[in-house]
Amino acid sequence: MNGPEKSSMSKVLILGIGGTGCGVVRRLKNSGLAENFDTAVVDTDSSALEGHPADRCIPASSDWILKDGVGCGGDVIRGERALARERATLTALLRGYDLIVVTAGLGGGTATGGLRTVASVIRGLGTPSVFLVTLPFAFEAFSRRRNAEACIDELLPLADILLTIPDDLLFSRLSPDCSASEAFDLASSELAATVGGIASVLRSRGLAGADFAVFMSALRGHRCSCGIGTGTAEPSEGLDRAPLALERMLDSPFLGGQEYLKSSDSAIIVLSGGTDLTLAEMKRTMEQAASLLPSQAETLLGTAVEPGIKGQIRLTAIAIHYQEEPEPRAGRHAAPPRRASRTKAEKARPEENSGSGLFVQGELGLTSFSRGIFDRLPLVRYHEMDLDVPTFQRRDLNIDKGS
Amino acid sequence: MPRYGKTIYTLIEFGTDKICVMYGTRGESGRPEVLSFAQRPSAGSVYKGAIHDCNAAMKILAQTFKDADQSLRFSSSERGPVFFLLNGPGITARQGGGSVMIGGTDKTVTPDHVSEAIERAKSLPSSADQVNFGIFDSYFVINGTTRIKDPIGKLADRLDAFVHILSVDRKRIDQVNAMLRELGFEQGGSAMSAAIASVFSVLTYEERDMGALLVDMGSGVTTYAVVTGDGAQFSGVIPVGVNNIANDLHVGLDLPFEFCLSFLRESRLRKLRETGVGFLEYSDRAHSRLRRIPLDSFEKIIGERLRETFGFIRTAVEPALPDIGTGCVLTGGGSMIDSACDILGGIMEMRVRRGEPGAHDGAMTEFQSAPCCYSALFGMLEYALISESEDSGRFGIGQSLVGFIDGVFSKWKKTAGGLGI
Repeated sequence: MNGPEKSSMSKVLILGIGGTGCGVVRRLKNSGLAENFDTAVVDTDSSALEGHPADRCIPASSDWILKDGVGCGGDVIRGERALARERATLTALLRGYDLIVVTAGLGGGTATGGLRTVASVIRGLGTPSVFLVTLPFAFEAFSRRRNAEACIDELLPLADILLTIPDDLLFSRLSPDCSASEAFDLASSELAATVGGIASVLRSRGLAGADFAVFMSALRGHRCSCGIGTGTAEPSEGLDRAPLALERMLDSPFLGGQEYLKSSDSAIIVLSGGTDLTLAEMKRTMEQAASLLPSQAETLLGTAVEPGIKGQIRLTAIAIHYQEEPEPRAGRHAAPPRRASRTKAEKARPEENSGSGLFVQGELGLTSFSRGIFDRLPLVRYHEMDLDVPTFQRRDLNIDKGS
Repeated sequence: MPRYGKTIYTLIEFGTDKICVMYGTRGESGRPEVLSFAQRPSAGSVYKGAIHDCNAAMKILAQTFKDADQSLRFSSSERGPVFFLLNGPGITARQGGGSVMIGGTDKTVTPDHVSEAIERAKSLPSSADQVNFGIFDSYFVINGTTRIKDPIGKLADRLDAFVHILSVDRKRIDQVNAMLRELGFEQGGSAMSAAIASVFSVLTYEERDMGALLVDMGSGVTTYAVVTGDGAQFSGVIPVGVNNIANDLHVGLDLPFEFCLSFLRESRLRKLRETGVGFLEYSDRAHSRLRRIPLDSFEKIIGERLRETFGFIRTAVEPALPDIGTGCVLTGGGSMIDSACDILGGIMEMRVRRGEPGAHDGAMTEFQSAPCCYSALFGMLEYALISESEDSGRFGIGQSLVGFIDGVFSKWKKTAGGLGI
């Protein structure tokens, strides 16, 4: 097979972080989708790395002294600490690439805690990055969802492109009697196909009409949920590959269905094919795909010829739903209102007014903030905010103070 | 005529970290020359750029003057006009506009038309307790449509002048003038905005002409100014400085404040990263243990604060973003923090460079370790020298000061004449 044409992003690394990330990279390697890419995985669980087919495996220990390799037990701080410790190794691993695609499942400890370190290293190297992460299912613990959201908040300023895929999109494909393990399995396999599709598109400069910079500007800094669908078709499956690829793309579980695409705020569709891809096929396919998009949505359409794909065509769609109005970036940095947290007394108290006839006085669970050295100095407000309270406190961020 | 032969300017900065006194003039080479300089810690007398404890500030200022006067090669009576920097919250920046119809058969804009339009632009009313202390050209518009830098000689039916007006509570200026009079400066001094002062010393002429955003992050406050076409468009102050970043580290990581401040000033994060270690080992004497603090925690805390602060600046100058042709310049002590330039570039989505005052002659030894911390002070000296030049001939920040500075000069000349100098 001939080598790929030299493109501006010829050296691409797919990096899997944590359990989900390692699983995705394993599937990519085993299915042959990662042929043209370098792969690496990082995990705190050394058993997950044993015999892993990735090109590089980096164990990270959450215990700096014991290096036990037993995982971080879903603890975000331990996950953060583990990857922070391996920062020099990560820097050496990630150097020299034109593009890095990072994949992980949020909600646990390793990826949720460590992705920020990875993003920071990549940013320091000046390499474009795409983060493809999944959000926990709704039936998982609330704390996992909350940790996932906090991780996204930290990644947004650091990642060039952050695509968050809610696992719940899979419900459009799952049967009602599907077990949880089957659900996780399907999530992992679909994510692997998605990662491979995205990496191929970006690597081949498939966005002919809209390059990586425009792709970035559509997504950068915006908090959004994405549905991603990939459909492929071979000539052996029929004369007309295009409608088949389109149908399969629409059927992709992570796309969320045609309705999700139709209701998107922004969409990116890329058609990739081999040297036998004809102009007529390109035109027809893109017209059909574009007809599925809402007229008022911002859309980016592109095509790419990849010599490595012989006979196959691949249609990839990314449907973007902004979670809030895309506001001026600085608006995101305004401090959120103080959140009330439950006091110890409140947590210890049995359910109030539970019908016993006794009224139990409630308490306002206000969190006190420290102003540090400015404690006794006059308050100077800026746009109604007391900026002398540390920013990380006002944003309720976890900080590892070390041990 | 002063025996020294040149006008000697007295420049004062009341900073959250230090109170400075500088004597400067135009050197033989034509460049600004520092004749003498002294500084002393503010010791809490200045907070967020504004004088918080007048008595303490007065004592420190007197001692600083004494230190500066020790190396004088001229008599203190030869000291010329006094300028002092005004900073901190409470400074209001507004845009004033004034119009004038162009009469005459040839419809050509003359300097008189320009002066009249500027006078009308300056007459924006302000509240009784506020006083305008800085008025700078922004830009001109002819016939309501064409924006122009120099309208003289152009054909027009109507000329609009827009100026950038800075005002402050008059008590703040009176307070400083009272201190100066007590120190022997009978005429008091003239206030200058710290946000605009840095523009003179740090931005190149091309940057001022093509448009640039200057951010000066000091110990107590961060000032910003957008200059395009050699005119000021926006300026402001955010009450956050390097001390806030150090305080965030102090609260977040349970480290002493002074340790955090020196950590930032000495760029220790970058140095530790270069060694390849992922943590800082800190000997926590209070708890008798050695603590390993991940460097990522430092990065996270510093990053959050910088992104928030620069985000405020972005919101404030959003309307002027298309006019910024060159990029951002970051100066002040905050520019020495690792990743500050990178984060500012990310927020503003522009190129960023670190700025320092340009070359000066004279007593420069004190500034060599961190010249960026004195950008506003040097800017004030350049501002004074620009107005001294009779050939400034250029509209913009320099030219519009002439009328303002003339007033200062005439007061000084009267005093100098009376003293027989």
